[in-house]
Amino acid sequence: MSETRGTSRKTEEAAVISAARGGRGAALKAVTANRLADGAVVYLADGGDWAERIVGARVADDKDAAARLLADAERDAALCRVVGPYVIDVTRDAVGDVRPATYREHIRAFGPSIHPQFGKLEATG
Amino acid sequence: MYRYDEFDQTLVGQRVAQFRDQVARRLAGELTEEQFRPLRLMNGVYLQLHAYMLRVAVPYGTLASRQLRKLAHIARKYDKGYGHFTTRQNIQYNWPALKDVPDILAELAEVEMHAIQTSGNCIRNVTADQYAGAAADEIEDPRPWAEIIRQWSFLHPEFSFLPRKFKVAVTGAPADRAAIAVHDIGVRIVRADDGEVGFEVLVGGGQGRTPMIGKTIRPFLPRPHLLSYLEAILRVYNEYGRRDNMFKARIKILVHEVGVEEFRRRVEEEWAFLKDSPVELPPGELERIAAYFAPPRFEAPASVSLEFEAHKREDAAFARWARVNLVQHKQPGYAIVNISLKPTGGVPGDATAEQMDAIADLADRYSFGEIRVTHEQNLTFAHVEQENLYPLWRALATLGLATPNIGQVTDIIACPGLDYCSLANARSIPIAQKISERFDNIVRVHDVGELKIKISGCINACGHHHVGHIGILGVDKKGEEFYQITLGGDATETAALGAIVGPAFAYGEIVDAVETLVDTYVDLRREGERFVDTYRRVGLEPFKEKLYAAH
Repeated sequence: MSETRGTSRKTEEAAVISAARGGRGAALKAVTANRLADGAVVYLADGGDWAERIVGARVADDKDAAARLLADAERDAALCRVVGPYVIDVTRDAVGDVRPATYREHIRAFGPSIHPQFGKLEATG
Repeated sequence: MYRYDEFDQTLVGQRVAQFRDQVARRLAGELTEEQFRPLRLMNGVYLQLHAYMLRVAVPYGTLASRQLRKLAHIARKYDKGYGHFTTRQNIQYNWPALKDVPDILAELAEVEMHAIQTSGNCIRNVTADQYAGAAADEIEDPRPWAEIIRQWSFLHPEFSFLPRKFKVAVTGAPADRAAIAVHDIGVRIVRADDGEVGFEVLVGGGQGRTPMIGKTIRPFLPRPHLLSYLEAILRVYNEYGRRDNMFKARIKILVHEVGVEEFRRRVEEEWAFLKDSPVELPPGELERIAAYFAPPRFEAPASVSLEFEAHKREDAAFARWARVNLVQHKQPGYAIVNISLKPTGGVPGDATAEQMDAIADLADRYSFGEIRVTHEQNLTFAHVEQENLYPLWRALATLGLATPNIGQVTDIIACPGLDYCSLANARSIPIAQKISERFDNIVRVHDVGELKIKISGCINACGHHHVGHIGILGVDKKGEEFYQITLGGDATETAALGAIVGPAFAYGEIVDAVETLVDTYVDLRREGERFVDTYRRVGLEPFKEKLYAAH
């Protein structure tokens, strides 16, 4: 890899991490889980569905709404659609898309940093 | 190597059928996750960040070529085309679907493999020296004993619900290549003054949030009594081990809290009931099992291959590889070959399905069809004729498997870390990749010499950072990845836990910090000193001073 491309990759990585971490303590919440049959990361979406991409996540803007989301998710867990639902912090980017607010959730949303080819495409633009 | 008998095959087959039914009931909603979780853990199925993870047992790290081909096939068919070799000599798949796991297990059973007891609060995979049966310094091959312990611990009804996980390692040489001092039980084959071969038994070693070096509770145990003595240890642990706090539930905590003398007393008291009981190995069983590990037919024409020596003179790259990747074999004319899974910028311990297939073919051609997995996340061919080393090296080079860095600064152990593991606080693999890229100069690597860097993404220490010459522990500080450095750890027969150097370094600083440590060593070292030798001579302060002056 040329130095220029390597430098570009480092800059991009740092930006991603910084953006993800910038949302810590965010007021917006969503619910994530793993799909039971195959373990894929999913997000509770509108209509009781589960979206594979975080842009499709239903967002709660206060604690009570987040608790209702989690309750919905736990009902789905009991119905064996998903496993291990929990609430996560999210933010909205400049175009209003839902983004993870922590780097851990960024990795869950978009794939391992070392194997980007196994992750989901960045849901931007 | 050991081959399943009808009993073994039936047992594994029944377990596959049982788990298939359990998975079906889980997917149908007849089992909750709380009910299913202990069942899947007993079959090596974890739920990680992105997906399920399946950990397949590789007993004492020994694989037949047909087994490695099956592992490659599973990677291709059910995963994303690769597998990860672990610090317990197992292999992990990071992306299996739960619905496919019964089929995966059925395929594994076809080649006498399984994923049983690779997780959960039970006795896990028994690990051993990867040079077993080949090393020049070996007293006795540890693999028959590792197999005996495996059979004893497999589905042991009394020890299937221990307070916590339990790990056993066995070494057959004075040099400890199996890290026995940081296992719950470490077994070292020893020879008494009168020539009798027996075991030194260590208990209470471990890493994690409370690292401890194992204590010898029995300096010499006669061979016939190994199983009864292990049974006594496990019974004491099962009875007195803490179940109120999972962070204090390992046997190391029990040994620490009651004291080694009192622990020994309890074990000896329990052993008095078990010694010479039906728990002991039946007469003839050792010989029956040892027969599976009989040495291959060695047929090297000469004790030193002239071709090998000539190639080293003529090909500098081959000579560099031979210098660090080969180990002396006890049989003249042969060598032990280490295959590095640590290419520059690569993921430590990963192998693609294509590489696995190719390694299996090379094993058939050059090493009696056998491959060993090392706890340092590399592979080993235990028996290669010297005259075949050059063609083997050339073949490995075409596969990207000839990096001449075994035991060197770029032969790094790294756990999966935050990229994969739900327990992790920080990424570990990118740090290993960046360090290997920083030291992408083989002349420099060989000048630095033996230096074992071990990286863990959290305090659970799956990357063995406590026993790295340089240990790196990833931590989360207010949402940022930081890395704490320890120095002077040692996983060998001179076992030691690393000492924390000082404040942690940020993600963007840690590689520079490691390079500063290496440069400091090079400045301070005396003739013949490895990194850890210099550290032991000068202590922490010179390294600390340079590290924090520079950063």
